Amino acid sequence: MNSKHLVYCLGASMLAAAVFVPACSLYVRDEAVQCKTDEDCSSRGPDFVETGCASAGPSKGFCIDRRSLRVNGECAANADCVDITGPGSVCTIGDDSLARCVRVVTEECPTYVGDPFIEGTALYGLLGEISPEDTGFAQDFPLLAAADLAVNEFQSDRALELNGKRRIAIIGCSESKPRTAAAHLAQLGVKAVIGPSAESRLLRVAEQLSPRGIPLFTGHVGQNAAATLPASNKLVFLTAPTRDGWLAALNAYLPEASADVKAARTLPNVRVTVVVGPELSVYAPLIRERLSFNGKTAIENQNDAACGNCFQLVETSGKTDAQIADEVGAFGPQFIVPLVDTSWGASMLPAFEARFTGPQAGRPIYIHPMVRDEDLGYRQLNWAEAAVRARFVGLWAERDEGVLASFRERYRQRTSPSEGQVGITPTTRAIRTYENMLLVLYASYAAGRGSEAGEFNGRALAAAVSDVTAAGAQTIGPGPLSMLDAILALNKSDGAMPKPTYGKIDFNGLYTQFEFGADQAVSNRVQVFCLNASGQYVGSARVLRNGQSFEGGTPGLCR
Amino acid sequence: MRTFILAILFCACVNDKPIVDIGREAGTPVIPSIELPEDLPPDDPPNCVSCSKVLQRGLRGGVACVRNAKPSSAAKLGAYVVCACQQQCTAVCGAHCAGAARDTQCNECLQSKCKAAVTACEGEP
Repeated sequence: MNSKHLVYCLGASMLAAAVFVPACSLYVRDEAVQCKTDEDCSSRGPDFVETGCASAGPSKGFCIDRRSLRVNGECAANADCVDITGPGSVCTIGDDSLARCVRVVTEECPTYVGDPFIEGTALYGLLGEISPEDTGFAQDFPLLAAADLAVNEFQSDRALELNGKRRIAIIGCSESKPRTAAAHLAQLGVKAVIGPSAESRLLRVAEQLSPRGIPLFTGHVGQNAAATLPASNKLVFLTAPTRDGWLAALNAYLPEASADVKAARTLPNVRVTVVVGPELSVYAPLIRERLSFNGKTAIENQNDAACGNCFQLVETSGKTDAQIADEVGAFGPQFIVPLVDTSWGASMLPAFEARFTGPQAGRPIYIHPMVRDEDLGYRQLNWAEAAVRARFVGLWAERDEGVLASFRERYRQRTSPSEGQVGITPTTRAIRTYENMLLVLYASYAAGRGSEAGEFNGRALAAAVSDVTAAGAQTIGPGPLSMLDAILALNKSDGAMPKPTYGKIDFNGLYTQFEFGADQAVSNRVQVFCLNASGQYVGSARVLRNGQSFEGGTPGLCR
Repeated sequence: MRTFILAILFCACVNDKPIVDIGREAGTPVIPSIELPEDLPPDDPPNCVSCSKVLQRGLRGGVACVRNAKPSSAAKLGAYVVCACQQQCTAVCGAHCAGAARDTQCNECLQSKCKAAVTACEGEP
């Protein structure tokens, strides 16, 4: 209490009190509340002019001074929000141009890394199945740690912070409610969003973010489902292999692998089965119409009695593993292409293998295209046998094993529960999240150049992507060792006033070269992976760089 | 006289000055919050399975159902993953959490520190 005054005494009692009671003999306890509304305050008298009622925080229910407030809205800084919503909110400008306090943690966005409450912090969103109740939590729980690692490495050196010394925080949201989560992120004023994981949710997310100029970067979906949304133009970045990309790789690889099989097994044609799970059923029409082998499309092969109707597309929906295996076993393919996401290796592969007998050299060859994680199903088989290993091929994004190993180690350290202990192994999705976060950080840095306070918005960030993925500029690898080089290169300026031209970099990720096409999807290089004697997939020298044909190494099957 | 005594008794000192808060100069009109669009509750993915089935296949071996029971298979699997991979057994279950089968050390940790989550998950049909 700052002061005390006598306020309620009748005239006569005042006199008596002065005589008989030299000072206050009775004090009312500090009021539990002074107000519920601002009107309660103004009605308390002249001392309360320009005060308002704090609706939360330590001063809740008391009239507090608001004279110096000069904003259009309810807050000028995050600290203001403590008195309005209590701790846990940030002050952001809404679509209505009013500043308001918005709670960071909600049901849809249950977590964050970094400190979003520090004034001026640049906020980013991460959308994935990151809530323990989400159906894909077991796949997506490593994502936030991956984004956190990128930020932590970026902020670990003072030379590497964003302009204006802005800190960085990431708000983690569950995409199981994509509209609500994306709208919340937009309301928080995030600069960009990483995600979502599911292609089917991309449009609903973009509908909320794009009209507000917030770009999204997803390393998990194969087609821009938001392409029909005019507002999303130049704001949706697909960094996963596109459907066209993986189909091109398959179409480039199948002819050379077919040549080997036809020669070794003296066959005029090859028989190909593509197994499509319900989660990837959107790929089915594309495969029928555009997959090519035996010099024909898949549908032509299917209808060609001369080759024994040598294409089969099996949709797994509603069938047991045994039924699917029976279907494929009866067809007798030389190549099986599984598009079955997570359940392939664990349950279907063993069922398939049980249907094929005879020497390994006569059994089908499994070609795993660029869909989600590398499959570990072969480990249930006798992979120590070279002939078994030769039947497994991966067509995945080109990568540098040394750089990847370094990332895995750093990620394990970051997720380690205590010093000296090993953390979790990053998944493909975690790797893509990390590299996307780095891309976003570099683009943020580039967007904030020339502004003392480092101010930038989502559209500026999106526009700056071309500055950090500029072909021919200095190549920057993924990881902390390249960060200083990247910042130095981006800081180079020709000094022209008032608008200098700044330097550019060509950032490469762990899996992604970030060579964006006009549709803002990457056209990544694809490498042929074979199993080595230790049972590990190892990238061969055979790489698809131009989307047409593989180059380098030995063509054909793994040996 | 009665009035006089009552008046004495009811005289009081009260806090009647505004508090000057060192942070926000608060008390501004609280503007209405923006209503966020709603989503329908998430559907079960077409290929979802029970929590125990996911564990049998390895943690990357499938997606758990969200609408099949209360608590759902997904919630049970989530509790398992949080305990095994984020809180109690991270150091020894790292490979398991990335999709590999559980080894002895991981199993021992799960049995001692995540028994409830393991039982709830494996107890599903």
